[in-house]
Amino acid sequence: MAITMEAAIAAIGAGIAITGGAMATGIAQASIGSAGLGLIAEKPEEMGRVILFLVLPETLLIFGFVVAILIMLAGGLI
Amino acid sequence: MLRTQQMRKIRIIALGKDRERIVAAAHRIGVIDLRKSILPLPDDIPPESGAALSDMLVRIEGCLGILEKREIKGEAHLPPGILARKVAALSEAIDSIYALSTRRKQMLEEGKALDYAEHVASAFSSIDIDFSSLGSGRISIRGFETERKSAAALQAELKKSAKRYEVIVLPFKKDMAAVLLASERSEATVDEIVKKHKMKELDMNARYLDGKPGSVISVISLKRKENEQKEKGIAAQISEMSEKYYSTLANLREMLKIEIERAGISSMFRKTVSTFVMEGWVPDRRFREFRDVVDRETAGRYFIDSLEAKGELAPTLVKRPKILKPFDYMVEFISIPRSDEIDPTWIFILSFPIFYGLMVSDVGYGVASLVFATFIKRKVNPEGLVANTASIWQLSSISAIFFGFVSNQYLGLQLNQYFTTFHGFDWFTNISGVLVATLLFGVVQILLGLFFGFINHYEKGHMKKALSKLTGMLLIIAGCVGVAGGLFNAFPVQVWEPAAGIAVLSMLVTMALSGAEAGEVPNLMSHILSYTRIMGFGLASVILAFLIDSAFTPKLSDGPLLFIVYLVIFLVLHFLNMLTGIFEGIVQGIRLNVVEFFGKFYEGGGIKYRPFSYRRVYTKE
Repeated sequence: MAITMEAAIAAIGAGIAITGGAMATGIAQASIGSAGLGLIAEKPEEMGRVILFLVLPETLLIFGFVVAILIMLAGGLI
Repeated sequence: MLRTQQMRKIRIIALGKDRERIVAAAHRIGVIDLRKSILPLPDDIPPESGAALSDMLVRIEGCLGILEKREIKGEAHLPPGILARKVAALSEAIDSIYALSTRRKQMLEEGKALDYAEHVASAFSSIDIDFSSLGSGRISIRGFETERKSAAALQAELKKSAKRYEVIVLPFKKDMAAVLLASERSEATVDEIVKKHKMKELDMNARYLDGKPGSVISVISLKRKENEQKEKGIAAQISEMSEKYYSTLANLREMLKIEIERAGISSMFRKTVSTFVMEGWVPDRRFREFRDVVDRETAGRYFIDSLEAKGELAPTLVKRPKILKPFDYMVEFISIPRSDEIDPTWIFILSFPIFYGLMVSDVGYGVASLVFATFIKRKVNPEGLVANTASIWQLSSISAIFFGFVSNQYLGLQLNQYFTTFHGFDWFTNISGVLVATLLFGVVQILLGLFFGFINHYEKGHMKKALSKLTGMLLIIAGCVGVAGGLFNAFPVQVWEPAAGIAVLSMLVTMALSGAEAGEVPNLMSHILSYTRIMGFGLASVILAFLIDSAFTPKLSDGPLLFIVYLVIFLVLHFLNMLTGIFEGIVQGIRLNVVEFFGKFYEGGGIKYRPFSYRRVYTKE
């Protein structure tokens, strides 16, 4: 299957978008996760809330994902 | 449906002599959530019977702990005076039960003493020793037990010493040794040796250690037989007492608990010389029922009034089918809805299973999560967070099965064609369609959130904030049209250009009206995009399942060994994928509701409605 230069660049762009979102989420979750575990050690009943806070930064990854999908749609990849 | 139950604050003023009857009636129908009266009157004095009833309850609780459980035959509730007399009449029986318990404890202690004496006597049974003559004379003889290697080390050390000690080491049980150490009573180094070789001292003067080991063991054996008979006698007496009194005492316990609660509630009342004042919240729909009961109990000698509760928040009461109660628990876990705001639970009930179903979206995973949820629910405390989450999970699993069928996913395999001609959607070929659908979910839920926010603020008279919610709605609608037209040609330029202009204008107006919350306005758009996570997690789960199937579907043609290896890998990977899907489905489903949706209007911080009531299990009114 031949891939055009535009499609290849779009695929790389989509990859960068996802990578950036994933890295940002990882950095944010690292801080929240360590603080959250500290809280759970003191108050195990707070686990539900900690998990909720832990997933908040996943929005960044979702934005990366949306941008990647948009790039792939524009590039004719999907 | 979106409102908590209407509540009414009431005040009852009645004669002091009717107080007991009114309190009992209010307690019985369990309608009023009591509050301390704001009238400037003295506090009511708790009835003296309260403390006496508490003492009785403690004694009866103790008795029931001693007795064996028996079937409880319900009895009619007794008023406090008769109740106290009935407990007093049972006083002798209660004392006998406690005496039996004391005797049983003594037997237990004696059993322990016999075990210990037998232990020590067995340790030295192979030598000629008389326990009764150890404590006299200039020589001190002490017994120890230790590990055999420690005893050998002790022997070796004492051989080198200047014979200040005599030691006998006897094998005792597996890897242990009994040590008999004789020394002059004035010898001060014995304790150092004991410590050094980690020897545990045996009490050679313990009870029953009288005479030679053989005779001690015989006496202990006889004593045991005698005690066994006594214990059987005590057990028979306890059994007899249980048969006779367990049911009665259990009924009395329940009656006492109810009466103590009634006596204790007087701290909420005010009084005059001949009247008392009771205040509290009752659900509007049950007010008449409550008033009728008070009317009947007092023969019309009372005054009841509805109060205007200025600045006081009514307690929150929601009425929902039992199956949906776990959703209430989940919302309350975040914060109890205020009685003066819209209750978002119904939206949560409707949206969460859809979000979860789309994110898991597989018949196999749905069935497995239904089984897991049912299993977990049976194993944990039915009132706790885990059980409630499991109940929500159970209901949502049905949605996962449904979306799995619609998207033709069975552990990543496509099987619909074998039994139906139905075509739903395909995760691989309809990505843009699913993306738009999830965005629409977001638009609808955010618009709904803003609309609820508008109603909440409008009802509280916060007109600027109410207006900001409306302009926020306009911003979203116009913004969506602008983006859909500008980026995806969904609308002609004559439509999307003015829409984009309106969106910008609405954003500025919304920011101006929102005041301190202006910074949140750009989040309106980002929160809608946030709903695309439904597609993200759903797609990830489906693609992983597809990859697992592509690489590790076991085939009999590969031979039996490879078939088993592939089968194990196939199951483990699907299990891990399912766990990730379920976890994300639950967490992200809750998050979308709590952060994106609730954030638009929900204040929380309500007071839960706790009526003055009790649960009668055995006794009858």
